[in-house]
Amino acid sequence: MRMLLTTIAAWFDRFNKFLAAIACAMMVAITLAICVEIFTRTFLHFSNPWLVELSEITLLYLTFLAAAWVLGNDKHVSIDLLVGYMSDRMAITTQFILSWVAAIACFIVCWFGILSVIDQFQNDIREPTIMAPLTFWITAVVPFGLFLLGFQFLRRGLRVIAGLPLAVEGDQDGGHA
Amino acid sequence: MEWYEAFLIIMGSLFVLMFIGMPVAFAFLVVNVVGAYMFFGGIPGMLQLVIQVSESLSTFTLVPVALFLVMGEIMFHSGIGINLLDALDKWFGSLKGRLALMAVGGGVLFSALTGNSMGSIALLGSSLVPEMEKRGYRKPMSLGPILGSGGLAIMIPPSGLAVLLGVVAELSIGQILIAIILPGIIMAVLYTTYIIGRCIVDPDVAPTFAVEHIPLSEKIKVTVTQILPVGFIIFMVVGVIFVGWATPSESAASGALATFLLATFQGRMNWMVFKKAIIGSLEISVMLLLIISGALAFTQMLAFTGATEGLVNVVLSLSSNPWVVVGLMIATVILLGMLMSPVPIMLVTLPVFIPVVEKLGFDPIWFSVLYLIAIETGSTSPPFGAGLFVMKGVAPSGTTMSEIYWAAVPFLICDALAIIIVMAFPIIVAWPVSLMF
Repeated sequence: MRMLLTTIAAWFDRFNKFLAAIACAMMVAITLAICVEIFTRTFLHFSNPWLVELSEITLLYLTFLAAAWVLGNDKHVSIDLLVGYMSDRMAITTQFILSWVAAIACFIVCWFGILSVIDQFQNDIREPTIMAPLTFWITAVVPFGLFLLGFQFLRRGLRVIAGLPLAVEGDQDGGHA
Repeated sequence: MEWYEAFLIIMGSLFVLMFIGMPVAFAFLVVNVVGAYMFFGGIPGMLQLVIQVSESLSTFTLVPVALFLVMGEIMFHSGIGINLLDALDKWFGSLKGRLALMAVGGGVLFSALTGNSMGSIALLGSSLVPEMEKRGYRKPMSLGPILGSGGLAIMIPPSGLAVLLGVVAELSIGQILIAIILPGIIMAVLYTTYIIGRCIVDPDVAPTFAVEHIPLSEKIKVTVTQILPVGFIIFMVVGVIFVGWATPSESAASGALATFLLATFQGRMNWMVFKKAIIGSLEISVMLLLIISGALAFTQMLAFTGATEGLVNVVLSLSSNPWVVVGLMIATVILLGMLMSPVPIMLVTLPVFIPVVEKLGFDPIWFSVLYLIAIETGSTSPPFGAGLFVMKGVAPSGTTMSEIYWAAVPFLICDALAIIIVMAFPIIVAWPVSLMF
């Protein structure tokens, strides 16, 4: 059982790293696309308004593609004002409960996200913009990212109970726990 | 349900979740899930929440949040920052308090390049404080100037927090970025005046020491090769907005590209530097964007329940004098800054404060500048200002929190003076904005 969980965690981490790499590429792409737009508009006097729209969609995508990877690295900011005053046992219990509460919230929004995507797909809804993309392609990344986040939070809770660090990289089993 | 009951439930749960250690972005998400179900009519509310999250992030005004970070990370990992400090060092000669003055000069330059106050404090603290200690500088003159000038990153473009303020308050990001320039320079001048004054009154606080003579030709050479090229980056961020080539959102991309080109031109760019910079900026961007998306949905919920209007009326009823109301709001931001980091403070207070300012008839851009100075002040204020802990992390071992607190105090007084100056002379903010194309 432990081996199975470790294998799943290893594949999950690899998948998240792959998504993070895509998000990195998107960030570079946005930068270049906007610079091209500034240059062509200022010096060649023609504009590509769809580049702006594409950048907007890319921003949403890169956020949700990399969100679970960022959580795995424990890079989401938190205010631990009261945690310092808790006993170790209480801090662990609190962290476990918070992780699972967050996981439930992620799964709930993921579920309603899937319902939204299905509705947008069935009604063939399009964005009222220049590119007029099908809206479900834009919304779909939200439930996808939240599902990965929910899974990462469940794992985070289990890691707290097992006494492992919150960041998955750098611990003895290579983070795959 | 009365607005104050809804407000207490929503805000109370948010603060409890945040303070017991739930990551801020997910504290917003949990409260939004419960709130959407309770106040937005059950399942339709949940579906609405998904749309809100999706729409809040697919907006062009948020692009600079990510791209200014790319710029700062390239600057940090390529070593351009450290190089700048070395170049500045050659100009300061044997001035009284030269290292403290260098901290201010470096703080202004790093601010113009990174837009990240914590990064600026960490970089200045780790590179200057050991040298200051070696030269016999006392803590108030080694730690204080770095805490003050590091915080200038909030007040000098490209300021990530100024962009965030523009997004949350629905104000012109370009106008805010231009409006903060003069107040930021005034703060740097106040810090410099204090350092020089203190060194004259109490010379032991920063002993003068012999420095190697640097010929003028060498100074000019480092200026041309190290300092002037940075002007290219500043132009690509601020200049392009001024001349009307790019919008503020677009200027973040031109700034990031300019930083990349400069690092490449100076032979500092390689695959590892690039990879670290992009990964570092992705981590922070994702964290910030998720917080923003949660906070925007939260703001809508506050408005829908009537809590925003109710709070605005409460704040307006506090005093019949509009200046007192503005003063109270600024004091609240400083007080919150002693306990929380800037981003949550902005997301929680701005939806209430900006409507109040508009109802009172003040210029929201002017208020935004005051607000950002207050955020900077709060983030270096005892007992929990985030900048103080960054300084603790990079200060030499044995430095106590109490020493850091006392070192920060004179610079907090300078910040308070800056707030008074901007309040008394709104032209400082209005004039540069009026010059924009």
